[in-house]
Amino acid sequence: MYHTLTWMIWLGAALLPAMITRNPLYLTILLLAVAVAYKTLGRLSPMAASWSLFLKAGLLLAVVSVLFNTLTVNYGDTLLFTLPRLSLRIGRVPLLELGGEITLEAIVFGLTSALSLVAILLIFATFNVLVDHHRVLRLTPAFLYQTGMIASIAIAFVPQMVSALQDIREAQAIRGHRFRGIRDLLPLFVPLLTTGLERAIQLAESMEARGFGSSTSDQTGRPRTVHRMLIAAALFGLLVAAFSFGYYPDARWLSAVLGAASIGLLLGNVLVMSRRVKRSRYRRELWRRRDTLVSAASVASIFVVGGFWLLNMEALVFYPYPKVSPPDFNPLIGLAMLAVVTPVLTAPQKRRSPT
Amino acid sequence: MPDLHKHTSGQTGHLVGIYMKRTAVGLLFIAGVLALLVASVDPAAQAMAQGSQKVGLVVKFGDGTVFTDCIDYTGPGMTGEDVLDGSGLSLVKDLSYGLGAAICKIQQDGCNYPQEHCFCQCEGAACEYWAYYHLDQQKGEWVYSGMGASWNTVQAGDVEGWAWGNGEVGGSDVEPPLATFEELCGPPTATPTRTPRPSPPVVEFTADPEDIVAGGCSTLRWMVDNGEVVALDGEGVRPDDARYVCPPETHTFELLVLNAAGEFDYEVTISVRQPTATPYPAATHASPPTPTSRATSPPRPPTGTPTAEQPEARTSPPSTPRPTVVAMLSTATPAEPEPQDAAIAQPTIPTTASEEAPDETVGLDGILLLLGVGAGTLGFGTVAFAATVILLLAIYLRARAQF
Repeated sequence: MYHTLTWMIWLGAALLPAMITRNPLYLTILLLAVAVAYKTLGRLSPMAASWSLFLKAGLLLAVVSVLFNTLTVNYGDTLLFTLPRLSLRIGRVPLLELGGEITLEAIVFGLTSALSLVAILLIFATFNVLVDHHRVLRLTPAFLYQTGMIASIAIAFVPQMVSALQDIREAQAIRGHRFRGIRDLLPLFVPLLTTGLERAIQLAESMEARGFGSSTSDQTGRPRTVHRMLIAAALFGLLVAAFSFGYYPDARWLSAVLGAASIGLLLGNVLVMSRRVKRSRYRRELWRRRDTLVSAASVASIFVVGGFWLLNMEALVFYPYPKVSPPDFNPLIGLAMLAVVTPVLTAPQKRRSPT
Repeated sequence: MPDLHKHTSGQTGHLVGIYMKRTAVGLLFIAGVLALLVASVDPAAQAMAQGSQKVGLVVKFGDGTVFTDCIDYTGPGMTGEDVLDGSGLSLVKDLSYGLGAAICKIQQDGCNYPQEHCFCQCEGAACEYWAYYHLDQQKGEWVYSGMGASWNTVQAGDVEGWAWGNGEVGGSDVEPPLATFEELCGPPTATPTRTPRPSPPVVEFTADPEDIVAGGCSTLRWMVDNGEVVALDGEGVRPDDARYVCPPETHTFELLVLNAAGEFDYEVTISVRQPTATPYPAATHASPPTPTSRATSPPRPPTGTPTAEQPEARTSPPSTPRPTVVAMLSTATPAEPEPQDAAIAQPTIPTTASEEAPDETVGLDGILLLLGVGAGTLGFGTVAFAATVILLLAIYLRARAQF
């Protein structure tokens, strides 16, 4: 439906606010937007079922996060009630202190943390449902095809496991096995493990058969070594820049220049090396007008949120301690979150099947 | 077939029996482990029996000024964080990780979490933060704490130290100055062998005017001599300064001054009249007497009188630190002004009585706040948020029909 690159930019636009803000209003909008994207575009995907698993995992995490924060943090001005204190300790060293004063602030903070966790999980779940991971593989630079292959296999791990789990459960159900408790997990896990191993071996064999790992570059000898050295130098430069950026706050501009130069060198090398690798494609993805629209909206959203992050951090933070107050809402940031639903707005209308 | 059925059900029963036994053993084991680990459930009750035991506190600020205090020991569960809380110093804490607090700022030194990160001045080579120490009373030296303040439990008679700077394990020059427990909290037998007491600060704290009409503004001025740390409503300020304030409703500004002699609290109330509530002549009539009666607290008498009477209020170590501020106030402020204040307030400002309420923390308060968060005060932000959510719903409904 959309170009894979579009989805990658979309992922960036959705993930950035989920990572950097704890403001419940923005997170709620983001969650709703992601849910709308799934409920409309994702429903038709073959991977649609994996979403509910992510949702359940997210809810479980949320409950744990809220309970943990409420019971371990006794700080905040709005005291709700006091529980008996339970402290686990070895000698004088406390391991964990639970209970005590339960404050509204701790509950609110737990809730916002949970909201941000659930948002991140559901964004990835929706991305998994909407994007074919084989297509993600094709986005990697041509000379890095091996790395791209491995990354794509890693990304596919969870959805494949989910579908394998479903297959096994169905097969077990046909044989009259009913899942009732923890003990019934064993007949589920053993086949899962064996199918996983089997798949891995199969994958390795088919990769071997297709000549994976053999060189496709016409470049040999010295020039290749030079390129490799340059890449290593660029990566080292990036490392030095990152370190000095953090360690010498007074000379940040110098670190920034070094970092930019290293990135330039790296990209230049990648371009030159990729040009020498011959790759043919069987099916090319089309970049349509709607891709441009969604990408533009996503990039704009990244700019707005990133701009606030760099220039006016206060607009994004929400910190209930020491006394909780209603979160702020900046309509511009709220609008930026809506970039997540642009794929729904610009999607082609489905032709009604003649029935 | 029925035979088989019976057989299986019998077997299941047997299995269930084994299962239950194992569960019981497992539960017993877990209970045993828990019983071993749980050392104390609710130590607060035991705390009452401890009597008036104390913990010393030394805080060294970035400009070299030192604040010392003697905090009541509240019981076996008391942590370094509780000690710091008890000092009444204004703190900024980072509690994002759930396991205890990081101290980001004490009074004016440190980082304003969450606008900046908690250790914003410790980025690489130049690293300054609130280093936490315990006093090794036998060796007479500070020991850099191996644990955070929320996890470190203190005993009665301990001395805790905080210093702004690059603290390290094994000692560095940022350590707070050495002070023994006796110096901080006095000898346990209360023999009056104390060296000359440090003198309390000389403070002038005024508001001009003290009566304003809603929407109006007033100028707060303060001059502090011999004060080490000065805070206006919990925010660190310079010793001699003025501030232009426009409180929407009657507000009592609090000037907290700390020095070696202890903490001193000064108050000035700016009363705000609602223009509709009182007719014009009545207001002008009422205003002349108000300043005299409202200049209740210690700030007014400029230099001589407070120095003479305050030391008495300070030297007796406060029983519970935060309330002390209030207690000191009531001792410094004679009992009469309050009713007088109320009497004058009644005709002009009916809202004065509610001034005390915000300081209390009650469950109901929290529920009301929660409702406030939910319903919102229908400000611009709330409307914008609701509009965004409605827009999302509309998009969903339209798209659902389409796909």
